[in-house]
Amino acid sequence: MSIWNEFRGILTLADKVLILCAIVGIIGTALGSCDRTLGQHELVIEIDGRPMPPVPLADDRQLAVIGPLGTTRISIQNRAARITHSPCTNKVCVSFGQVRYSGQLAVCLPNAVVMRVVGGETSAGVDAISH
Amino acid sequence: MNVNRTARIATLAAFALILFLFEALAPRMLPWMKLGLGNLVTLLVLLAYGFPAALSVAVVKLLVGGLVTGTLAGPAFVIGGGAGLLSLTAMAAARRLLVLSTVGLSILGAITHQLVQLILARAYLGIEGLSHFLPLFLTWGLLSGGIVGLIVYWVVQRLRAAGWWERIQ
Repeated sequence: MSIWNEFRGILTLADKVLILCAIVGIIGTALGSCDRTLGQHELVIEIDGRPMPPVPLADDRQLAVIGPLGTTRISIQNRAARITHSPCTNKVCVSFGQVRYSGQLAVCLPNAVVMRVVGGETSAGVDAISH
Repeated sequence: MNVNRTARIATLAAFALILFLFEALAPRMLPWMKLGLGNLVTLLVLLAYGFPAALSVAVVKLLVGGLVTGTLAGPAFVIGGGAGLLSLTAMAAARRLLVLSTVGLSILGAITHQLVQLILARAYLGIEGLSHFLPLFLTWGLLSGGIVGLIVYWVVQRLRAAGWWERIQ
């Protein structure tokens, strides 16, 4: 298409190196956060930075946690957890879907709710950020 | 200080605000998946007028944008604002040190913005395990940076062709 012609030859060497590094970084972090082991996975919920005792994902249940903005509802079904309702305005957390595997997390930032899956045999795929 | 230059930079800052607010109001798939249209102007000002002018545009956009959207002094303001200012600094530095095209600069800015946002979110909100979002954020940074960079490049080419590029400085 002719509109792309004027963009030809725009990328310098430094550009290409940068883009290459970005792609390598994306693939690297994507592979590094994979932990597809199944096992005794548990859900750790933090409200306003304070962790609650872990909840096993094996049993179906409904949870309600109370944060600064109100009540966030979490549903555990089929060994996965998801946020079903939250008092935030954007509802990003609800649209985030399920968390099932170790290391996955879902957050509701306005209500300071963080839930992540821990447990199972952790292989090499561990979080880069840790204490 | 040239009055015309100041007036032009101020007008561009207002334009950046309009783009920012438009983007804030427009429906999106996920709130963080913004193109960063306001950065179009910031990058343009950086290229045309240098770092101090671009910094002032970024600060104006941050403060007034935060006021209008009601997020001033909230976590989104600190995280997004800090990331925006630091990524602008990174772009200005890279412009001096490396031979990057407009697209490359924009990509650098976008990715730096995303990374700093994650770091600030961890420091400010104390959320761990955000590294899980890295692939997603980095990919979006690459894409949005590329698109914004292409648009700015196109604008600069048009300005040059019309003889405006020298006149506005």
